Amino acid sequence: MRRTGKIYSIILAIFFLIWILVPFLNDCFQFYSEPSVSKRENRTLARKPLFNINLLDPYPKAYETYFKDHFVFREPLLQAHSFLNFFYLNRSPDPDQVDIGKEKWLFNGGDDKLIYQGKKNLTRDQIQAIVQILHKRALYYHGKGIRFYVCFAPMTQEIYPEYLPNNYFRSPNGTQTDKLIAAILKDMVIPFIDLKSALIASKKFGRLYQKTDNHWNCFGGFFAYSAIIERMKKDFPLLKPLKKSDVIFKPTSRKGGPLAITIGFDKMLKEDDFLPSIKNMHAMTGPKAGYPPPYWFAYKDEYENVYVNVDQTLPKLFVIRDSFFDFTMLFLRENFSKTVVIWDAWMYGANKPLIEKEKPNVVLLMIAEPLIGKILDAPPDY
Amino acid sequence: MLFSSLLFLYQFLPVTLIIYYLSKERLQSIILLLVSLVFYAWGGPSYIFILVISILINYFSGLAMGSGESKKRRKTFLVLGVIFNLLLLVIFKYTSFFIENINFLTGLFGTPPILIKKIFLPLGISFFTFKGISYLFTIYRRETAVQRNFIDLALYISLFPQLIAGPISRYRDLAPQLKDRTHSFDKFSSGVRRFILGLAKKVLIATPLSYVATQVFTIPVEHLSAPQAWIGIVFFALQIYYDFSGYTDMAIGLGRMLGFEFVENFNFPYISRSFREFWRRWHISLSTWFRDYLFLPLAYHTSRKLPKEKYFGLRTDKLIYLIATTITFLLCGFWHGAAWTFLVWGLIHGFMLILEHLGLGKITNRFYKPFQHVYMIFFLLISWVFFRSETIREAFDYLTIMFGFGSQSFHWNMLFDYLNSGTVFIFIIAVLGSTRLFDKLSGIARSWTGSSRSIIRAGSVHILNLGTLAFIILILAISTIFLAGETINSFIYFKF
Repeated sequence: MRRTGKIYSIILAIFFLIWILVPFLNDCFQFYSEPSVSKRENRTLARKPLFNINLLDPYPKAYETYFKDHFVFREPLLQAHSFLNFFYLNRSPDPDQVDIGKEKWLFNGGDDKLIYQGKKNLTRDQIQAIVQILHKRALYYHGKGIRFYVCFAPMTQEIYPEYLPNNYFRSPNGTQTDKLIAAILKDMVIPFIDLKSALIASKKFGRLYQKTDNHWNCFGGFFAYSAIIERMKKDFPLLKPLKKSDVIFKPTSRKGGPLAITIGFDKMLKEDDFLPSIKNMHAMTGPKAGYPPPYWFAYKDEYENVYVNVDQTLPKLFVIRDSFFDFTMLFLRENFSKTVVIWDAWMYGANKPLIEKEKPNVVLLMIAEPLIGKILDAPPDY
Repeated sequence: MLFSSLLFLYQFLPVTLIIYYLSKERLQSIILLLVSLVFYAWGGPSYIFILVISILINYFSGLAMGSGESKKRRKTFLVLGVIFNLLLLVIFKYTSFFIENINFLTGLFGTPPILIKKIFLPLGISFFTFKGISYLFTIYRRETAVQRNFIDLALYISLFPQLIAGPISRYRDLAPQLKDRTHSFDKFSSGVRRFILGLAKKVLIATPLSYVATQVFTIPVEHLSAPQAWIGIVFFALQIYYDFSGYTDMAIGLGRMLGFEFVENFNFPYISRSFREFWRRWHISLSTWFRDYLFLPLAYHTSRKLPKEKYFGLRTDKLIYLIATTITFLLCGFWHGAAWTFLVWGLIHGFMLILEHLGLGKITNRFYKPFQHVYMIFFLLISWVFFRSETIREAFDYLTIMFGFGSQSFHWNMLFDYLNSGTVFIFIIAVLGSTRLFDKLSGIARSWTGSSRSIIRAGSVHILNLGTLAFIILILAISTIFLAGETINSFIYFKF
């Protein structure tokens, strides 16, 4: 018996040595290597740091980052980790980026969470500065005879708090968005459209936000459109807002969105959505003017979009937007003779040169709630 | 570098084992010292000088104590050595705490605060300074000879398996092994088993338990309900046990792989029925350190100073126990962290020990045994609230809610957010594993291998060994998956 035990001891010792040596040998000889870019993490993996005897302190951390990034079989191990965490522990495999809510709703972590919990705030001066910027813009557009509207696309947390995890609470003192909106409403010049209230009121019609993405779905996009166009109609009575019955929402299912990709479950967590089609569509893609996008902007093709309508008596619209506008564009362009949509790399600038050329009747500024502060980074005369 | 990290397990450890076993026996201690210094330097190369200073202080203090017969001389160098060791600890661990509190007090009188640069806590300073003090006391008491070999003393203080979380091996226990260690496949293999079990305790049990505990402890007080608070503290109690004992298991396992035999540090503390028993089972190397180098000398010196009378109705021996226990546990709490919460934690333990000594122990001994456990666990959980909380205020708020004085109503469906099947499974394993059940089951399984029928015996031996091997491999693989999961670092913004 003792001899048998000894044999197993030897087997275990040898197995353990081989097991821990494989990654080490792989690091030396690179018989298996991961790609240098992680699609799932959306980043380039760390490179091996150079050893410099005169600069020792940062070396261990840099080397450890490299080692972690290039650990043998990292991708399959991450996939297995995601699976065990998500299905076995009901926990986000990447809790810094994604929170798992009730009924497998995924919520954006990071800034969204900090803003919602009141841990990230704009200072009073920053709020005043944003109000000032918007105020000046309103006056500038007004001087050109243009109607200007501002709206913020609310975070999923604001519309569907009931699906948040139990330890995830809204700041009792209000968020930075609450404070900014209060300041904007005090300013009599900035025409603000409150999408949050409109969306909450429309929840009864169906799910408005995606479960695996931080954006609204096309149904939510439609109700955001309704709130915007109803407000514009007060200034442009001739506008004919689309009704829900004017649109066919065909149910569809696709792979999970970016939040699902982040935790490695885009194939497993499907996104049930709708494919909208307008019964009597009048707008279509128009020729782009070819405005040059900022050189650092990753989605250059998305910088400028143009739509033209068969009815040329309608007013012209100019939109400064981010990704939230994707699901609203389809509807809004129906109400304008020409719609120019600019995604200016999250600067949310006044886009004065483009305005001078396009001469729109209406300018709409739509900002995703967590990105409101970005407006402060725009060059003053941009 | 933590033992439960990919870098340690898959780079540092294989390199260390290869170099160690390929080098000649007389060089093995030097190799171990070098890798221990690299291990330490990995946590911050600039801080290596603190460890080196500690080694030098203890080495020369030891030499000074051993170079003469005079007890006075030995005492002088013992005191100097201990003061130097404690000075290192105080400067790096407690300065910020003291300044913060001085600033608070002077702030009440409008005095401007003292501003100091942030002091980073060097890795394992609490452990290696205590090992240094243990060495000095051992030499002072002449339990072993002075260590004249610098390499061996440096290795004792900096030995990497014990460097950042103990166990705090006594010099007299480790001294013979610094010179002469036995290596065998059996010992190596038992080290591997112990290391992997420790790794699994840390990664597969303590970490998932910490998710629940952290989730509860981050709920704002106004949203917390009593059952949630109890769940949070129970999970934390198990988390801290598995975390710490898992780390000790890894240290003991690594020691065996390198030919050492370290002291045990945990012995199923949660089956204790009194605080007295708890401290014989929890962090044994620390409690015995405090007993031998603080409590007993303190009690001895106080007993010599105090005339044998009654004080406040207490006999002298009781009063001495009271004073020595209070001071010992106050400092024991402070050793765990530079915050008032740790002091209170230590005081609760000291207070419970005093009560048990003064008569509560006799009363609880008469209880039905399960009630003795309930008594012990109940007060232990209360003490853990202080250990887990950031501030005293936070701890009291938490306790208020635990005892039903919170404003938040409770809905049973809230529990299901924490207690999904996976968490419940881990919780059950954690609870059972904190008792002797698995030990007993493995004893029963081993008893089959002693069957008189040779076929049953042979079959049992193979099944048991194969099962153990498969289990060890499985938990190593799953632990690696979880360690790899910690490497994720998504850059989410530009996905949108």
